[in-house]
Amino acid sequence: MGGFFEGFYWESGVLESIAKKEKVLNLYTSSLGSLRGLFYSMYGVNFFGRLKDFIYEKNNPLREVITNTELYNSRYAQTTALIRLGRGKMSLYNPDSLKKFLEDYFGDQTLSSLEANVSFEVFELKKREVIILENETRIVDMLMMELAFPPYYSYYEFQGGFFIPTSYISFIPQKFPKDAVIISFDPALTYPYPKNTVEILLKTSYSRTLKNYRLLTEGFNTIEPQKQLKDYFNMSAFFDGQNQANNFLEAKK
Amino acid sequence: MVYGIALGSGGARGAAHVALIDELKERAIKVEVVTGSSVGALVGALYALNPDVDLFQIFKDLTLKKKKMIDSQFRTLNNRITNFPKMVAGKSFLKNDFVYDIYKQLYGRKRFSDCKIKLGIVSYDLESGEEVEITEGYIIDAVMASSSVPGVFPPLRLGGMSLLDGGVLTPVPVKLAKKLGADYIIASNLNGEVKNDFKFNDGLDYIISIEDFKNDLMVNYEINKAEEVYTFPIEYSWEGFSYFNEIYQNAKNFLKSMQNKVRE
Repeated sequence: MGGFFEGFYWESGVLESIAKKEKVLNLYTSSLGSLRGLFYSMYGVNFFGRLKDFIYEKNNPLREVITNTELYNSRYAQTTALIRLGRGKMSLYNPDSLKKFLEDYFGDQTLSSLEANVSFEVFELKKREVIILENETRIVDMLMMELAFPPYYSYYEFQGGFFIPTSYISFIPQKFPKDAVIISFDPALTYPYPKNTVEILLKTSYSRTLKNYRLLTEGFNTIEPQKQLKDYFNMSAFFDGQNQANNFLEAKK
Repeated sequence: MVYGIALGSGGARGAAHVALIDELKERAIKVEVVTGSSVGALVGALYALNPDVDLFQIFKDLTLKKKKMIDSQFRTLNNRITNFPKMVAGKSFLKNDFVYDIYKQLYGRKRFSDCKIKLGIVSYDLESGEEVEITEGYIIDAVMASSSVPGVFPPLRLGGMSLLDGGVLTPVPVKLAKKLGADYIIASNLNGEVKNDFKFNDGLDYIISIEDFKNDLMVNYEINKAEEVYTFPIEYSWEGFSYFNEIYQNAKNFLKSMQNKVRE
């Protein structure tokens, strides 16, 4: 699983349902999927309450990002985004304040301290390489790479590389076993006919990521939303994800 | 054996397609299917119409004759002050009239059915978000649609669709060449860019450049279906139309070095 904030509630609902029924889970994650994987690894099946508390914590910069992901359809958001990005800033939000918050929260803990088996995947831009992070990587560095989702945050420089989450390219990570079950909210997103150049670029960008996702998941079992959700950011999306996972597990019996 | 060539997207780098076609002529390979995406459509359509024509001379003369006009258009494209409002208020940075005039000289009113080699062109429908395969109708319409770079040129309304650059979803149209009957496909990939520096002017430059990283999966999916693949290492950007000769010559040298490797 990967995605960005749009699937935050829905994909969490899917994961919780599956985790309740499957004793051992190996997770392959990218971007928000990695944040979810991290909290699952730390708190087990009841991870979502802790994850929500973390996101909506007063000083967490991600709290603002999650409420501002709608660039499409909002000319005001587009104009302010263009002003920020066109005047020398590399991203819409300041990565330093995110890093400071994460360092205060996670300290120097590394991925080796985690209980569950999670493969955190990122993409290195200079070598054009998909990389699974080493256990010695600090949680803070992992999250800075996984949250470096354009245009919200710029690439994260780490040990000479320039990292972004793989899900920017394909919604999901690109390295997973043949029997993996794919969880993805993003293929259900819809974009009406573009009204301007920004929306044309956003829609073509989405179409390309969707095509990559379809290429990667050909022949795999996938759990995707079956209906259009009115609001991504509330518990109804979480419950819909749970139902979808239950239906999938029932059908597999 | 039915030979097909699949010519990929990549703007000015398309000079490498011309070098490959010249090379295939030297090898006396009888091509029966041509597919093209974006500049691949531009080169492929002319080749399919007149297989014996000297493509190098035609495109060299064209880039020389239109140099002033092309340079002026790309200066407009790179002007941030005038482009900024166009991003929110318009649907493209440039108008496509000058492209239409150039294509008119190349294809006139010829149709796909006038081609001596079977031709297929890919495009992208902005409305459905899907790939579109064009194998009939006027060639100029298909090439216009296939080479309308998103944001740079406006979408072309055709057949109830809003069409944009074929390279959006199909950077090298190998699958279409198979569909049109080719069973030995030679793929020409212009996405093997050599990037010596890793610098971005600002966030806009960064998010536009980073789109290219989505190409790799799509390119690999297509070229894995081809029998012979040429991924040209080109250091010039898609806008570098003034470097037609250099790109062509470098591509010729690259093809020669590949031939020598095969011989060894």
